[in-house]
Amino acid sequence: MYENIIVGLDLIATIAFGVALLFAVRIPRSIMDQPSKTFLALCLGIYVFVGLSNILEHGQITDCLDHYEDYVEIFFPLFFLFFIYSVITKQELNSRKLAEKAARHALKDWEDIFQASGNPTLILDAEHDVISANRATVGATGKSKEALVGMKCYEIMHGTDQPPEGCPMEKMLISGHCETVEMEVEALGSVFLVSCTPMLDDEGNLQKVIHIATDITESKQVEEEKKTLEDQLRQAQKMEAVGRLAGGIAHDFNNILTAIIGYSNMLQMKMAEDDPLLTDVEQILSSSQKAARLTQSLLAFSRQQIIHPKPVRLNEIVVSVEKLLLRLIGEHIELKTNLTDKNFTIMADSGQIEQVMMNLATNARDAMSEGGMLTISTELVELDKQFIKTHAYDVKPGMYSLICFTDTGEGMDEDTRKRIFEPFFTTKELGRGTGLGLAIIYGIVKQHNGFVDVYSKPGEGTTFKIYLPIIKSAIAETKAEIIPPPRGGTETVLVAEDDEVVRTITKAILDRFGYKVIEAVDGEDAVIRFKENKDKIDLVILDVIMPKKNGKMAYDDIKKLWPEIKAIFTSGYTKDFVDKKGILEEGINFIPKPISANELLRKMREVLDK
Amino acid sequence: MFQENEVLNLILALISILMFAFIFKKMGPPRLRLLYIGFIFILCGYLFTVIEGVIWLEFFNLLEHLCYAISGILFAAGCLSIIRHSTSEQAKNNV
Repeated sequence: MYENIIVGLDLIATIAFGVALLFAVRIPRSIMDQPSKTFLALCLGIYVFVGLSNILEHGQITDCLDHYEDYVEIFFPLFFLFFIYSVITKQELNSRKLAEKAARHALKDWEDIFQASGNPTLILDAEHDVISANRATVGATGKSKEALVGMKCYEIMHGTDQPPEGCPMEKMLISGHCETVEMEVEALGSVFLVSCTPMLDDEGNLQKVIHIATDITESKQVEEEKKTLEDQLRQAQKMEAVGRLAGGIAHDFNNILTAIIGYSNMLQMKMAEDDPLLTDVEQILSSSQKAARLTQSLLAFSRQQIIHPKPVRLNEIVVSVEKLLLRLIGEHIELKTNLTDKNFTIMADSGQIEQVMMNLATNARDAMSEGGMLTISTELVELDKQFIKTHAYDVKPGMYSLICFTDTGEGMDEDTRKRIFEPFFTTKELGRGTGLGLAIIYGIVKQHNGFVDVYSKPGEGTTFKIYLPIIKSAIAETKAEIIPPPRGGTETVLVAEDDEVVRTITKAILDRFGYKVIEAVDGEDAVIRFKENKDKIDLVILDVIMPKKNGKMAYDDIKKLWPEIKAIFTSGYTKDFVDKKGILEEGINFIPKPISANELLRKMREVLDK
Repeated sequence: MFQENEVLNLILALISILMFAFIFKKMGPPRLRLLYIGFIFILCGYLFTVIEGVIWLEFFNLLEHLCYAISGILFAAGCLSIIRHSTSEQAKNNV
């Protein structure tokens, strides 16, 4: 029984080792190489032999092998050891091959990335010597890769034999970490953001340096353009704010002047021709006229003055004022005109444009106290969207006439240039300039839908460029206007004015010229007074801006009571300004303040006689 | 009494284990777990062969042959698993 069990176990072992041997032979070479397979087969073969011997011996079939199997068995551990060693060696070889392949791939990937980088990139040693350079560097420098290798980085980038000031590599060698510096690279003609990154070994020693130069020229330009645009916008906003302030002051001041001029006129009319006080009154009137001109200048700057644009030829305006300008600038300054032969027309108030030229000539004269040359030239230019966008002008693209005033005077610095159009800003000594000349130019040109540009540097003179839009319409013939003398009347007039002084002087003038006057202190009062006297009133004079109800609202209410009523509006603001605010309709009768007695009387007769 | 060749077998097997340990430590063991276990069973067989010469002859002789039988099965299973592993690897590569 015992022997049978042993024989059975030996049989199982023999069959199992035999099957294992068959499987071992069939193991593919890709998994196990031939020497390993041979050693495994020998191991398994030994135990097929040992098992077979045991069956023969324990089954008492034959003892011919005479325990040879015991000696054969000795080789099993050796062969198995060889088998394992062979497998491990092969495995090691495979993993080394795989690692080498991965390293080759990684190296290729790194090289591809290095070469594909759009930024000029160098690999340097600690002595600034180039070890490798990418395609972008080759393209940017125009040198071959071979020529670049071995050169110093500063030789390539700056063409110097020493590292430049602020060299990021030098900084990195001191700090030991990545350093980035913005620098102008003359050799490449651009501004670069240069970064130097150290590559250290396991012990922290510097092995190589990655030197990357990123071209930021374009972004710098965009940044500068943005800054310029912001400056221009800020300047335009400032001018707008100052203009509003100046306009507001002029408006209130005009009300005061209306009273002064009105009462002075009244006094003048009442006085005898030989009255000794007449000269004093004339002085008051003369000073008031000067003050009125000042408010007019402020209104010109704030673009609230009345202009009378007509189609005119720019060259003709220049020619017409040339002689006047010659006298204005004096003999020590040479005047040169260089007018375009293109015959173009602009929509402008000739008087205002002449005023611009006079102011510019005065300015040029003051800038050339030692003498020099003033050149006036005209041109026809096309402004595209890009130009307007770059210069941040609030104008439409198209054809523009250009007047250039170039002097060879002292010029000005940037800070002055930025402020010259501000009202009351002057660099002239006290009493020589009002500081309104250029502000008026700014206002007039803006009112003509144009713009002014100034180019100047200290010691290099100044050029003013005035751009005005051209038109295609023909030039209308102008006829001299005949102004009729003022006449009085007997009609009844309702005067609605919130400013008591203005209201009183208006009443006094009208009383004197035979009119019957009903006064109202605001818009609401005007409507009440009209209701009370609607059968008598022939004309209403309304201030546009009044408390409770403005002039327009009061007029609308009055019109409901009597649709045929005639009206005249007055305001310290100009009609254009009031129109823009949408207060008054087209075709209304309007008198800007300060109102002179003659103007008021003439307008009243004109409206009443219609 | 135990035979010289049986002791020699055991010594060689023990030396080979030490060498495996050394090689595995240096290079890492290959993925042949069933074959290692099979080898351990053979080693046990060698041990029982030696012991049977001293005590309980029949019992340890039975254990010895049992160890060889188990070892044979483990070697067969080990070789089959290597073939299967290679087949599945090939299929993966083909995909």
